[in-house]
Amino acid sequence: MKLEIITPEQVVFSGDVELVSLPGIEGTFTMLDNHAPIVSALKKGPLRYRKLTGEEVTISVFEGFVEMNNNVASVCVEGVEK
Amino acid sequence: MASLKEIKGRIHSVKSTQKITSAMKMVSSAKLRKAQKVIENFLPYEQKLNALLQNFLTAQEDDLHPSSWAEERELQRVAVVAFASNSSLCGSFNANVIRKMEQVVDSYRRQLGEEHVLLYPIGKKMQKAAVKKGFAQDARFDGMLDKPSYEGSFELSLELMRMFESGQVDRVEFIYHHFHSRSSQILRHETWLPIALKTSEERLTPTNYLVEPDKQSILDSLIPKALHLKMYAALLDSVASEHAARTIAMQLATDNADELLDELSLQYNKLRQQAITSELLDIVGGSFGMNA
Repeated sequence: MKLEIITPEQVVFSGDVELVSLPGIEGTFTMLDNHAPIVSALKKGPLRYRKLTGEEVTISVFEGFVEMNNNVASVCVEGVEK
Repeated sequence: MASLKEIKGRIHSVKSTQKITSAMKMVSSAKLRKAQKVIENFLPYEQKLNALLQNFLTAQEDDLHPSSWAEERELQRVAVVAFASNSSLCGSFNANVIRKMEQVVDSYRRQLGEEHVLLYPIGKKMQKAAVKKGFAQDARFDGMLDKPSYEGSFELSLELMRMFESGQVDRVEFIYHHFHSRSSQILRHETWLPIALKTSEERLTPTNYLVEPDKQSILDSLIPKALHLKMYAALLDSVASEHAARTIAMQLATDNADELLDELSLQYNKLRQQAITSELLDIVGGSFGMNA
């Protein structure tokens, strides 16, 4: 699936990933390929994704949303920890 | 008639001024490019958030109560956020915003009374105008323009939203320049709060999302985000407009200097020719006298 991490100041990441785990407002959850369409609020916390190469990346994000539709996961957050 | 030496001096001073203006032009056009880049970076976020908000508003069911951010209250107190710049030399950019600000403030003062109108001046030039208008000095937002960041605008919008929530203001309005193109910036006067929630006319079939935790709380947090976003957009718009206006102003100044130089050098050459001719006449006249 495709993952986009977007903040008002830049597009932090855009690319294909195997899985992404997100700091949902009611707890961390993980999405895999072809997840059903979902919108969820996110709280401040770590976001982890695994690229197709198997490399795992963790960044901490601020509050925001994730929208998953047509196998594209868009994470809109107000910022990422630098 | 000015003397040769005077004209030479003027040519020299115009030339050095021209050097300065053309350097300033290049600096602001570089800054403009940077500001445009920032706007570009911000568009994906805006589009995504707006699409999401639209989707929720169109799919709005009866059990969702409309947001308190959209509530129109009886107008008693109003806050005006006016965006200008920190420095001048940008044509009529500052003058336009300031004039609009004065108009708006004056009409609200007549309507609501002097103490019920608040002004948030962004930029040193706007501040000066605000003090002249009888507002207290408020220098908190100068830094916002030099390096426009989401954080900076976030703080301001958070403060304004708190004031709206607690009923200290009933409406917040923006006055800023919208960057239309390099050569045209449009002055805008918009209501920020209460937010106008418009559902798109065409009923696009909204995707049926799984929603976590629930629709109401998503909507409740989407709208503040849209508000922060609008503030940031206005800031970026205004900054880009300022640089565009300055680029054009400096271009004009450089062109003017060119014209002036042409005129001056023509005058200089004429005078020089005249001097040479009169000297020649002197010599020729003198030699005739000796021969006679």
